[in-house]
Parts: sequence; structure tokens; C-alpha cells
Amino acid sequence: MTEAQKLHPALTISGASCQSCVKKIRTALEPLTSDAELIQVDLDNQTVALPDTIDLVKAARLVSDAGYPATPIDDKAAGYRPSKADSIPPKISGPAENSTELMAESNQIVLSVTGATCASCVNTIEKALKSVSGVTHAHMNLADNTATAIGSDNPQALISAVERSGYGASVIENEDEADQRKQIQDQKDYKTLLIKMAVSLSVGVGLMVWGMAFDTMTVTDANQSTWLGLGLLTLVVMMTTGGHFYTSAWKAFLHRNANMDTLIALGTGTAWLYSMVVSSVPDALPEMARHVYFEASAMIIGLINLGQALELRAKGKTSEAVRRLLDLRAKTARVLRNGEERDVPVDEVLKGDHIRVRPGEKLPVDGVITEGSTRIDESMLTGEPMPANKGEGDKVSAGTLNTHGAIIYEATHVGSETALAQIIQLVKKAQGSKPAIGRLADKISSVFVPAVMLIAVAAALVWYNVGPEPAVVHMMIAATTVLIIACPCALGLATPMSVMVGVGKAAEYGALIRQGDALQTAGKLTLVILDKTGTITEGHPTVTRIYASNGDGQKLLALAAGIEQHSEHPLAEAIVKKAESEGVPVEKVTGFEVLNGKGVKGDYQGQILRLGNQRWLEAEGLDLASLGTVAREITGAAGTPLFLALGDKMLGVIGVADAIKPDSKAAIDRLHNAGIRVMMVTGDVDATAKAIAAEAGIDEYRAEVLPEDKAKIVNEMRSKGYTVAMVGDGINDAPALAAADVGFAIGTGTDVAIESASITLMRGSLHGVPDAIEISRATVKNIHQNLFGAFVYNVLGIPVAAGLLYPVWGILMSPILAGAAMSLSSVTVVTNANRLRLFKASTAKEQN
Amino acid sequence: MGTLLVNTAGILLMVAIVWWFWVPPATADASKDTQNHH
Repeated sequence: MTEAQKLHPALTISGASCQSCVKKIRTALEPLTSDAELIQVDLDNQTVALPDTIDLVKAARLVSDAGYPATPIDDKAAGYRPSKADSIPPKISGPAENSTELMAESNQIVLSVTGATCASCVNTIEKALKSVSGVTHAHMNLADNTATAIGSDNPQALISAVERSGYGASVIENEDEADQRKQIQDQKDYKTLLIKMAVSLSVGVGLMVWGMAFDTMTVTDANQSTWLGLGLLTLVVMMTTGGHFYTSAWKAFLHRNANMDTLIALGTGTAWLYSMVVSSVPDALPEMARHVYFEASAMIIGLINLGQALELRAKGKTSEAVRRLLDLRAKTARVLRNGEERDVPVDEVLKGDHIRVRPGEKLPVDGVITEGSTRIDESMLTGEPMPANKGEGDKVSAGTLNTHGAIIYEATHVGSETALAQIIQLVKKAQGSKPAIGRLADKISSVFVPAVMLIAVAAALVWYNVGPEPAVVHMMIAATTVLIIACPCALGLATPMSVMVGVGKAAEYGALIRQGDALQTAGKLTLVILDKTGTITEGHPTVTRIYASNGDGQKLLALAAGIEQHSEHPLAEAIVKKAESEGVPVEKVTGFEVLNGKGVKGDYQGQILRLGNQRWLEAEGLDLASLGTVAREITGAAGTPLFLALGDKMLGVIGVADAIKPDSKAAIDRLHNAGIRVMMVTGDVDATAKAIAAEAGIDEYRAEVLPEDKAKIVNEMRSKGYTVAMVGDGINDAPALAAADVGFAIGTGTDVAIESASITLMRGSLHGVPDAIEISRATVKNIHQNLFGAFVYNVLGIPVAAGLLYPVWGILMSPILAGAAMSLSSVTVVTNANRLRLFKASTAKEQN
Repeated sequence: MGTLLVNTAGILLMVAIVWWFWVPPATADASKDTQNHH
């Protein structure tokens, strides 16, 4: 234990959520102490422990100034209380995007947004939210139509800001209800869109067929009044089936914004207006220009409605990962209160309640078993296929399945505190977060719509001035088609759809990705640094070798377990577990006695049974020479030899070591296959490190590394140009996890490690690292395909629509085709993102 | 005459688009965006 760990909390703080906050607090306090490393920040309890020499009032002021309102805990020093200005939420800055993600908890408001359809809408809504006073961070997720604002505690102001910019918003208070409401709403919207599509398409197709069949698409004196009537009918159809495009476009226009709806409204509006002019005053136009395009307006709206309906359905599928997690929760719990047993809704379970769970039932909340033992299937949380044995004192988690015996357990975490609830939160948050590549797409699309409008006008002018007759018609077609084809909706969906599916897929593999950035970076890793204990190895000793002088290993184990079952030493536990797992019946040993630093002894059938280290047994006068070779082999493989003697006869030796996990080597091989260098860091001595590295097939290792030096190694390798991942489980790994490009925390590890990492592996297995990397690569590839597709579509579509092919091949695209192409582009992007759901990690492939 | 009118209208429309969507209105808080950038 270091000196620092003996310190007592001296300040309470708020707003500190991650390692970058810890660093900021330490830096702020540097002027007061020569050794900032002595300062301990406890993120769980939001306290800072300081050496006695530090003036608490000054310290509180410095920490508050750094953005974390602080108060001295010591009453004598309570002269300082943060002023109102100090309690402004800390400004979010620094390298860790996750600081914003995490800080969100306290004053984050999540809104359900309606009417957003494209990247421009996302931009508009984010801007509107940021304009609300106090909001430090806002982001909108188009894939599930939610917007998150951090820093404001006034939901009404946020809602009005969104509404003013032309969209609808409501606060999500109860996530379950919101999810259900959204599902019902989506279903309703889907049906409405289909009806609208049917109406507008049938009117459009009807007009086209009628016009073409009777060759009446050109206005003459004979059909003028009919066309005028049909024009009004079209207007009614446009307003009823496509009214949402026009209102949204108008609201956006008033706010100096332009979005996809602007383009649709302008395109269809231009076609209708031109046709109305033709129908009203045909004589004002040359004969060739008296063609009407009412059918185009109706059909475009129909096709876009169809595209949106298909998109809505595909979007629903992408959030399946979260829905599956939500479905894991039990609805009720059988609670024992005042000696009575009754079923209560899971929301009403309190901390400290005792809950009975029978075989085959799901566990409703997190807790500790107080009675009974069972096997629990935790695969839904950890991906670990084997049910785990659980007995009194063992922790159990909500959402897992009791497969075997009846148990009673005490609730320790309920409601949103359960591991499952937090996993759901993490997945949702990460699904909504935007990787850097997505932010680029947003930036581009915000200038895109006005640019398209300019191109449309320019194209119209060119056609008017240098185009063939009827110039007015060509001019109108070119402008309309450009406006219709250039919809940025595919651009807006490209990134969020893939991120959503990718993060969900990773969760299925037991890797919880906390932010979109980590998803993007994980695919680029070139070096993975692994902590040894608990990461590559089991983290607790296991029996690696049993050597009996007479060849009867079972008997040796039975005797060793018989004497060790009375001990609580980790080495003893390893031996007892080994006997249990091998099904060896334990021998009865009496008169148990522990000799600290030496071993244990007891009485077996009237003889003294001793199990302990070499020095002790030799001192007791036993001859260990015959076991020397085996003992040296055990030591050479990073293990500890324990000798067993009955009376004055040596029975054998048992090797106990922190063995590498059975699948660590395979996982490391997968990393190598992916072209990634693997390095191990450990505080252990060189011999142990060397043995483990050799066994696990690791290229390079660093031994005797002090905890604080792990982060230094990460930084050193980063400065050499590597993109570094750190994988660890302990508190001592936290700084290195935060320093790495991507930090992987082993889920069985400490909370601090999990907080500091950007990816948490729910399984204890290292396979999660290559899994996450493969999923990341697949997702980024998918995003690239989507963005490439969306850009190429626009880059090719706009010039063709503007009529660039006309001078050479005489091709001028019709506005109807443009509408269909536009819908197709969004549907293609969404379908491509859904393709990610078929992803299989390479282990899975091998197993199949 | 008609040609001149259409061309002038088109050019004015383009100028209006640029002005409306790109020139920030006087009341806009231009510092807000950078403040939120991190």
C-alpha cells in the first residue's frame, strides 16, 4: 500500500467523471504540493484525498476554478463554499469525448424528435439546442430520432428551441414508455406513409396514363379547363400526402435553414407552378412549351413517401440489439418482506430486499446470494456459454437466468443501477454517438442544400440562354430534377445507421463500446498492450501441476484438498477448486493448523499431514531431493510448488500458478493474424513475465513495471507512431486505459478500470479484443461504403439532372426518375448498414 | 427584354440564396459555435 492510499478524503467535488477530469484536478492542485501523484480522486464518491499539509480552502478554490465545484469535508476548514459562479457545470474540453458522454448523467435531457429526415435537420436541431442558455453539448441521433442536450435543466426551453426550428420534440422521461410509444408511433407512421404513397402514386400514375394514352399532356384550348381542374386536384393530393414536406421546408426557410424537405418542396412546387401557368395562360408560352408536369409532382411525393416508409422499417431492425437487452429484464420479483412472500413489480424492489428465485426464473435485480446455491446462466450479459456456479456470498446480476437450484438473495443494486440497466444505457449512448467521420458528413451536408439550390438556378439559366427550344420547358425540368435528385438524406443516414448496427453487434459479442470514436479507432489499432494479471491470466491461482511420488495424483489431491479446505488462502482455494472440478472426494483431515509463511498441517489417520513450502518442510527434517526437478519446472513456468508430506514420507508436489486463460493464446493469435503487434506489461518479475509471454505467444514484454509507468509505456508507444490499445482490469491500469487510443477494460475487473476504458469486454476472455477490432473494421468499411455511395450518387446525379449529358447524348433526366433514384439511395444506405447484422467474428467462423 | 428579365431574376435569386443561407443575421451569436466546439 502506498502512502497515498492512507490519505483521507478532504474535499467533496462534483462533475468529475473520468481520468481526464482526475488529471485536470491534479494539475489544478499542483501549486500546493510537490507531488501531485499523492492526490487521490475518488470518482465513485466524488471526493479528493489530500496530504495533511495542503490548505483545504485553497485546494477547494483551485479545484472549483478548474471546473469541479469543491467543498472541504473538514468542518474547521469549511470557510470556503463554492460561489454560485463555481457551480456552473465544468466546461467540457480536453481530449476525452467520453468526458462529455459521462458528464451527461447529471444534467442531460434526452428528447424524442419528430420530423427530422436528413443530415441538415440534424445540424439545425443541434444548433437550436446549443443556442439554449446553459447547453454545453448537443447531439442528435437520426437513426433513432433522439436528441441529447447537456448542461440545461430547462426541458421546456429545449423543446421550444427545437419547435422553433421546425421540428417536434418531447422529453423522454421513462425510457421504457418512450420505447413503446416510439414503436407504436413508428408502426402508425409506417401505415400513414404507405397510404399517402398509395394515394399520391395512383393520382400520379393515373394522370400519366391518361395523358399519354390520349396524348393530352400538352395543354390545348379543348383540354385547358380539364387540366386546370386536374391541377387543383394535384394540389390537394400534394398537400394531403406531402404536406409535411412543405411545412417543414417553410419552417426551415424562416430560420435560414435548408434541408431535404426544402429540395422536395421546391422541386415539386416548381413543377406544379409551371404546369399551372401553362394551364392558365397557354398562349403566353410557345407551343412546344405547353406541356404539364402535374403527374411528376404527385409521383415524386409518392416515391419519397415509399422510400421513407421502407427506411422506417429498416431503422426499426437496427435497434434490435437494445430491444433484446431490454427483453432480458424480469417484470416482477418475489420479495420476502416481514416474513411474507409476494410478487412485486421489479421497479418496486428496494435495496436490501430479500428475493426468492426458483429454477428457470430470471433474476430481477443485482444482489448477493444469502441462501442456497445454484448455477446461473450469465451468457446474456457476458457471452460466457457455461452457467456459473454460485453460492452464498456470490454476486448475481439482473437479467441472468437461474438454471438449477432455488436461492434467496439480497438486492444490492436496483432500477437503473443494475449492471444490465447500465449496459443498456452504454449501448444506447454509444449508438447515438458520432464518430469523427460522421461529423464530417454533417458539416458537408449543412452547406449542401443551399449549394444545390444555386446549382438548380444556374442550370436553369444555362438552359434558358443556350438550350434548345422549348427552352422554358428544359429550364424547368433541369431545375426541378436537380432539386429532387440532390437529397442529402442518404448522406445523413450513412454514419448513424452503421454505428447503430455496429455497436449493437459488438454488444452481442460482449464488447460494450462507449463512444462512436472508439468504434472508429479500434479498427486502426497497430499495437495492443496487455496487462498480465487478470487479463492474459486468470487473475487468481489455479493448480497447474500435480506430481505424486507413487503416481496416484488423485489421492494426493484428495489429501491436499482435505487439509486446505479449512484454509482461506488463495492457494488453498485453488487446490480445493481443483478437487471439486475433478470430482475427487476430499479426505477427512482433523486438527487443522495454519503456520503463516510456511504452510498448513493437520491430522490424517493418526499421522501428521503437512502441506507447505520447501524451506519449512526441509526445516521439519524431510528430504525433498526426489521432487527437486519437478519443483524447478513448476518455478520455471511462473508457478509456486507446494509439497505434501504424510508423517516423514514425501507424497508429492502440487504446482499452483496464475495460469493463462485457456483462450488467451488463441485470442493473441487472432490479433497477430490481423497484423497487430502484441505487448505485455506486468509488475511481476522478469522470469514469470518471460514464461507467460512465451506461453501466450506474445512478441514483446516489459516486466517489473510500476503501475504509474503503464501509462508512460502507452504514451511512449503512441509517440513512436503506433495506434495503441491498452487492455486491463485493475485500478492500476486505469491511467493507461485512459491514455491509450482505445482502452479495453475486462468486465470482470474493477469499476474504475471500466470507467476509464472506452470499450468494456463483458466476457473475461481476451477474444473480445479481436472481436471488437473486427467489428470496428467492418463498421468503418460499411460507413465508407455508405458515404462513398451517397457522395457518388450526388456527384453523378446532380450533373446528369442538370443536363450535362444532353449536349452529347441528348439525355435529360425526368424529375420522376430523380425522385425514384433519391428514394433508392436512402434505402440502399439503410440496407447496406443492415448488412452489418450478418457480421461474424473470425472465431465464430472457425467454430462453424 | 424577356431574356434580360429572366437572367436578372435568376442572378438575383442566386444572390438571395447566398445571402439568406450563408450570411449570418446580425443577431446571431457567432461565438456560440466555437464555444461548443470541443
